[in-house]
Amino acid sequence: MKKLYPVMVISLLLIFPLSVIGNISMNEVQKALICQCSCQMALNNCECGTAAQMRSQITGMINRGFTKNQILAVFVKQYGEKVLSAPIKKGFNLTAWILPFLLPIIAGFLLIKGIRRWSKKQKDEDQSDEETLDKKDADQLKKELDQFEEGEDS
Amino acid sequence: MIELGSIGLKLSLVFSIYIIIASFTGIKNRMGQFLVSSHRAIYSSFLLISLAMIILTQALITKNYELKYVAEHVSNHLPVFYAITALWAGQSGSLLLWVWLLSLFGVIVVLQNRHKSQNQYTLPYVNLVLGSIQLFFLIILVFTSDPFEKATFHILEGQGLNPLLQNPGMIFHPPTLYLGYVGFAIPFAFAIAALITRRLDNEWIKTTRRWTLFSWLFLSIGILLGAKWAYVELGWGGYWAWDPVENASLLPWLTGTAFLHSVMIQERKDMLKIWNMVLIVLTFLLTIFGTFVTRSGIISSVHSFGNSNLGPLFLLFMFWAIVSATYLIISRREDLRSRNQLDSVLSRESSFLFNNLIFVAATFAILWGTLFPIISEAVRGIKITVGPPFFNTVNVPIAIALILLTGICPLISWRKATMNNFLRNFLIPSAVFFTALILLFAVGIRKVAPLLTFSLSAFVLTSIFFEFYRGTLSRIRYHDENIFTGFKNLIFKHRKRYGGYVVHTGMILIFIGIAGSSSFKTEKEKTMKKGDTIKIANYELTFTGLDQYNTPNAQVSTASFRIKNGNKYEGLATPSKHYHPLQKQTMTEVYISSNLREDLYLILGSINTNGSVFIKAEIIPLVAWIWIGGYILIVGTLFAMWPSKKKKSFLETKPLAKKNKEFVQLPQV
Repeated sequence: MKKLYPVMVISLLLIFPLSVIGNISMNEVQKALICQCSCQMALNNCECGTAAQMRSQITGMINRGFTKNQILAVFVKQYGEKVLSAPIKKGFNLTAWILPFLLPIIAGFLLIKGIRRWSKKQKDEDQSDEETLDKKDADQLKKELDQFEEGEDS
Repeated sequence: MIELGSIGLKLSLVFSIYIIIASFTGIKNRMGQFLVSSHRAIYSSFLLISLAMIILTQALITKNYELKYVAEHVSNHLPVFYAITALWAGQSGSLLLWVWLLSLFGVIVVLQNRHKSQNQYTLPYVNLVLGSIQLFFLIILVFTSDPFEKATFHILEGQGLNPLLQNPGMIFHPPTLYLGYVGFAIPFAFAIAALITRRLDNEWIKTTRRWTLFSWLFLSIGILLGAKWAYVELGWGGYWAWDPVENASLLPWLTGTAFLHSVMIQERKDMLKIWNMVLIVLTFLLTIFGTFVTRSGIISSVHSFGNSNLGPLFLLFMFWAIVSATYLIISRREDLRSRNQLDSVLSRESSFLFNNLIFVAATFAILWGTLFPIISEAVRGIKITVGPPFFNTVNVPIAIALILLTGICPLISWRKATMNNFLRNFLIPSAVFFTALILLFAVGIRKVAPLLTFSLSAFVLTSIFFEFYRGTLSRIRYHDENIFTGFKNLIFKHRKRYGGYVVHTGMILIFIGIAGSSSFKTEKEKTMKKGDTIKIANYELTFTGLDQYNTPNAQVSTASFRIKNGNKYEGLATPSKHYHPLQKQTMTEVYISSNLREDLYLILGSINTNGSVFIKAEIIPLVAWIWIGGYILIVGTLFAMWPSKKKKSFLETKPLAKKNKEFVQLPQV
């Protein structure tokens, strides 16, 4: 079984493409913008007059061959950064993107370290306890603990 | 009559002050009669707040425009049941509902615990904490946001209920959400009481277990009902739009879920006491934060109806709660410190810790994103928006990690799992995972997030199935029971555990629904004349005409479409537009045809003068699974929290106090 796991992991890596390249679509651009009617909704979710006007602007730009970034730049120039549905990934805004990943990673690392330290301490204590038990008693204890665990609620 | 409501609120404020003074004096001077008196003040304040609720409700039903609140939230033609829901449509009404629920819960807590010997020391402090919270809300209601404020001039027609709120969702969504929000005040109060009295064993957790589950359940139902409402009513941005107010409701749910898991470690291993205190304090603070975000207007939201001056008061209250709780936790850290250790990195205890890490990470990510526009404006002076693309990017990996852990947890033994045991338990679920992954890839699913969500869901469902299977098998083997009795006894004797697995199943179905509906939605738009047809997926929709009529509240325009699904006619689709003349607002009512595979979602965009219509048709896959998952989650939680028949212990059969007398033994601090 152990030998199967690396094969499974490699097949998993092969299945996933490293990058996904998509074509520009109306919906994609709409999702990146916030309707400016003060509803605070993504443009693709709003059905007001302002949304309709912004959509026709996007359609015009797509027809003229604008890229997604060019279209977004036009809207930022018109309304400011608040028209974008997510912060631009530069300068201070980077903290918005980095911290939600960085902090859990650091916390996870510290947690693993903490658990290892706790369990090592426990192991040392267990060893000193076991020295006082003969093999028969230790086996009996293990058996009873296993039985207790099987019948116990979580 | 109206004056009576106002007097009721003012008197209940006085009673709340008395609850605090009587509890404090009773504790300090060891005078039992003060404690009994504080209980009576709790009952009285509940009756007075109930009176205020009844009077305001009656004013709303009878359209008594003498009151400013009534004039602002109902109109002559508003149906009675919407007039009743107007009670929680505005700021002062919803705050009144908050404090009424709190006073009701306060009464229940006293009735539940006044005879219990194990809570005799903590109950006065619980009353003190709940009384303080009640006082805070009553101060707001009496001095800042009075629901009984008189209108400045006489009017014959009110402004009416916001058309967005005229939906059956309005009847159940806000009250259930508030039941969840307010409910978390009870475990918080017990936690603070345990800290003050230094009774830091597991008693407060046992006492509040059902309260925590109750609050969590209603918060879950409230969130799901809100999602359903936002899905069927255009204008909220879909079932989840990552709006600040929606986020604010999810935050205490996340920390509450982490708390529900981590208390198991405290009950089992006597560990994580500080962490559990932090989690319950955080959960309570986040419920207050949710009310603050909704009501202060500090963050722009589709759910905030106007700004108010409540922001500083809420901030002050939260600051006070943070400082007090932090002081108590720090000063009691030695008592809270655990003497036990974890046995191994590879144990169910560790997996619970990682589960907590993920819940807290999600809480931080959502809170950070919600507050970032304010932070950015303060630092850079530029207004920005943090919307769905940010939250999806940040939360999708967290959600996938959470699904993975949901599957792993039941497969790892408590205390210490051996590698062989771990691999043996993993064999079939892992095989199911890889098979699902390959099959889904083969049928053309290429997007990483749904691919992983679906395959990991298969992994989790398999691991849950094996938990039931192995448990039943063990009962058949060791208790000589048949398969049905074995299964029944297994789940009924371990309600908490198997109820939990049912909740996990519900959550997995919700994840499947979210992944499917957000990743594979297709849509088409078209301007259509009568007789025109639009094709989307298997559907063919033919525009058959427009219909116009009036309701007491609105002028309705309905477009009709004949639906053909494959070769089968499925009736008429009737998306509509409702113009509300009183509010000068047009609402778009969508048409939804739902099945387990997908929803047909029709939006009437606009009606042109030549009789043509602009229509948007969407196919949203698997969305029904979100609601099915929700029902399963409710069933699982109810099953887990349902009291089981247990033989009374020796101590319980020998009452320590006479049943007809309240406990007045005095606490020692």
